[in-house]
Amino acid sequence: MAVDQTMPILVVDDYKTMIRIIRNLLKQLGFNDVDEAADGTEALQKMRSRKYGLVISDWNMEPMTGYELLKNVRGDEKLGRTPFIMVTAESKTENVIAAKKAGVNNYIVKPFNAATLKSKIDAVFGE
Amino acid sequence: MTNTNPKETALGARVARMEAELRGVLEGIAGDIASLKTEIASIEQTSTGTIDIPEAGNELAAVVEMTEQASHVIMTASEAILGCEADTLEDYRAAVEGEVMKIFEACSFQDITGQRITKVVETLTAIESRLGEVTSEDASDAHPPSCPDAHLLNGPALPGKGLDQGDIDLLMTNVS
Repeated sequence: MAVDQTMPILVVDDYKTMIRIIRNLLKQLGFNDVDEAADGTEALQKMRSRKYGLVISDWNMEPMTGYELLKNVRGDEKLGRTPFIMVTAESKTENVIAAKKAGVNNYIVKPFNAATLKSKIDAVFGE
Repeated sequence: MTNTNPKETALGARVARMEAELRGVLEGIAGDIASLKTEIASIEQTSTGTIDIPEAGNELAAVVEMTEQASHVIMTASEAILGCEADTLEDYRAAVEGEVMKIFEACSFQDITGQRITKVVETLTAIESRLGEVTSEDASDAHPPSCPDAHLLNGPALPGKGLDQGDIDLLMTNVS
């Protein structure tokens, strides 16, 4: 499945700077339709009002973490199949295993570069 | 020789009583000091979600290191842009965009260092709170609200301690 560069992407992070970084990296990779949310609760609201082709989410946010967002998405009949990449500073084995078991499609540890982001998006869409 | 002077006998008994009282007071103070030491020692163990003081120092050292690295990357990329020479406008644009990408990537230090500093602040707040409880001047038991995955929230690992991207890729492949 080729990566559709016109797909809307939702970036979820409580650090405005990180959202700007990911937004700019995505733009450099050819993705221009990027929305943002500051935590899991806001992300869920946005996902219920618009269909996204990909969610890129931080883990450590309040009140709803990225992990809780992932579980909510996977448990939702309409949103359940949305590709989901976790981008986080949490780099312990138990985090990766928990995210994988909860249904994450890929996992990027911060800090990361554009090449890593591109390779993980490609991997999610099977390129 | 036995002292039979009634005044001296009474004085001796009074001194002995005062000695016993003083010993009791001193033992009480020693007990208070011992329990205070126990309370202080328990601060780190009971402050769930925070880090210990030596680790807080390591977190701050990692902040300094990461800030320095980020500054270095940003300055190097900026110098490359300033000194950029290319035959065509397209080549020039591609070279500048490549350097700007490096600047974007380096700016992610703000997120990581922010999380490290937050850990240190939480530790200091926990210590302040427990010390307030110990001295009974501030008995507020203000613990941060917990979320269902609080046990998985550790923040960025210290250099060399967490998994790198290669380890994570391997885990993602092998965990079903």
